[in-house]
Amino acid sequence: MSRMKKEERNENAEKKRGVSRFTPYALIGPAMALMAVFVFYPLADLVYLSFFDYNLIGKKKFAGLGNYKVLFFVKTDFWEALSNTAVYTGTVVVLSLLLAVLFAMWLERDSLVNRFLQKSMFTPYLISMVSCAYIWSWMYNDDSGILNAMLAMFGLPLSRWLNDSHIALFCVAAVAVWKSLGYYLIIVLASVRTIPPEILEAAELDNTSPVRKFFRITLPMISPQLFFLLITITISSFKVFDTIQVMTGGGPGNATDVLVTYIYRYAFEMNARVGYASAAGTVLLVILMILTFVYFRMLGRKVYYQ
Amino acid sequence: MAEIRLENVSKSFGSAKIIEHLNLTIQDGSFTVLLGPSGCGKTTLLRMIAGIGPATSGKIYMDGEDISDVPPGKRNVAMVFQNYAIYPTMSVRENIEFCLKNNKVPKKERTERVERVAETVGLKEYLGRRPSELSGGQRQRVALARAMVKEPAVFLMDEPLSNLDAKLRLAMRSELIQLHEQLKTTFIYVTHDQMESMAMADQIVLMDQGTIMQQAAPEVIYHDPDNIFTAQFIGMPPANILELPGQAGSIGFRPERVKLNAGREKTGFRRRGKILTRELLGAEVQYKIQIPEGVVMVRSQELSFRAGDMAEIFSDREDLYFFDCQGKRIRKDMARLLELAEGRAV
Repeated sequence: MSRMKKEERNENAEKKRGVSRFTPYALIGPAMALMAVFVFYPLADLVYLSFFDYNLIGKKKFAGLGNYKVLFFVKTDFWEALSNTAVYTGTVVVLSLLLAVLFAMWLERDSLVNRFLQKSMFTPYLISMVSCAYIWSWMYNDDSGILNAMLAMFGLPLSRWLNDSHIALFCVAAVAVWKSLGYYLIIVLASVRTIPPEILEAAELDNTSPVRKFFRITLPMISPQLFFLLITITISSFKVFDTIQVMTGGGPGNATDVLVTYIYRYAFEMNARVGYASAAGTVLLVILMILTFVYFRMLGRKVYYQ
Repeated sequence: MAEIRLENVSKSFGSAKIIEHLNLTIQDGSFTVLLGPSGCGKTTLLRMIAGIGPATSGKIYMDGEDISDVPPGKRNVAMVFQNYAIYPTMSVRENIEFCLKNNKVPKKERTERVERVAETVGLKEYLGRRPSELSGGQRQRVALARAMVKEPAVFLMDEPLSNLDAKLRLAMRSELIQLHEQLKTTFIYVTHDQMESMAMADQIVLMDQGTIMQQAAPEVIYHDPDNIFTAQFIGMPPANILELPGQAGSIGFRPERVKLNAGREKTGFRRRGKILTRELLGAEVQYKIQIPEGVVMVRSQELSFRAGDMAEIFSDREDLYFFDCQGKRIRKDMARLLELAEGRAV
């Protein structure tokens, strides 16, 4: 009863101030307009174009699910790109998380040396991806690269690195891990340090071996942060483009061709097959939507401790 | 069952010396309370016995065996932490069972022991729950059960009741006393609450600034303090301490040992003073009274005085404590001091 009165009073006050029912919409209008033009329209257009044969110049020709049919059932290079993306993502995720946790355990104690190491590891994160890619391309170079020079120094067999179709993808993945490890490390380290010391002391009193302490106490307690990293790394790895484009351009052969380089190639290099590239883009969109959905579902779920 | 002996132990954090050359023996099977103001080193002492904050120097013996270098998990002690330190990612059962699993106790015995302990502390229906689904009191019980299931020789408790509300604290207090009666193992209990220590302990170790001020049974610590610190730390309100004329030391008496407007037949400490405040505590009243030497607190069942009234306070000579200038108790040749104290009185 009283609440209704209050609401009425509020409404009256709002009317007096000239606030109508449409005011909120007017306020978010400009932002929504920008979103519509630069986000929603391109997304809708992407899906729309994927049903057409279109090369930016000629007339659009409706093709139905033709592009998808070619994508999945006629050509094999899309599957290759998809599996390359999956392998790349898997490598980056596993290595990043594993190394971040290992380094976090190593640098857990707060000391001057550890702080210096932690900051040094963070520096690559500040460099632009393309610069990193160029530097690493040079390091991976068969003839003049430092990696082969080092192998030669120890008399070990040389590797062809980026030109070897078996390991090129992993070489590129290593760069991504190297670049962002410092950032992941900070997140893991911060969460390791929030574990109350009494809990670890209690574990010591309970005669827990160090390994068991790690797996039964530390790891479960930092799992929310690890999960956050898992999803964000997965999403960003699925969208990888710059390193691959700079370092290998998808080669040798199609050995490092991933989804985004695939889309790029078909849309802008090979006779501008925009309709076909849109179909591939739509597939990527769906994959990313699923990942994001999972991410938000898990994020919304309450963490198991207060 | 074990006797704990600390020999010449010191502990420093960086340049800060918390404990220096401390010696202490804790009797087998006793309920010993380490009592003192915050920062006095009582928790540090407990952690040294547990092994999670090793002594900087000195030896710790358990039943005559040197355990200074034994890791905490092998010391046959269990500890209840102030904030319980329950493993948040494990269920109640897993929490209690964790230590037994680490020690490779066979499954059958493990289950048996967990259930028995859970029964004792009243957690049987909660074994499957997560700690986050429990109330404060229940978490307290989990921490207790986790310690009990080890069947340790020594229980270490670091202010285990301080996070509970007043009612629950009283209930748990008597349960802990009962538990000690049942188990008859050594309990070492840290608290800053002198009431709690009086209620639970059969030995109190009163500490201040890293040194032991007095170690005795609660009755002794209350009735027969060794120094001014003890007299003032124990008791509610603390003992009145007044300086004697001519640098002779000081005199002390407990607020509850003061009579108001008593007869003149006995000898003791007698002063007239003005009542400054009156606080009703229920059956008793606490008066703050201004006398020539200073302000004294009095607890009395005489309810009739009001603020502003004049009254004569009297403390029997039996109830007077004398201290020297260093704050140490004087137990001999007290006649002269008594005269000094009575001097202006009669």
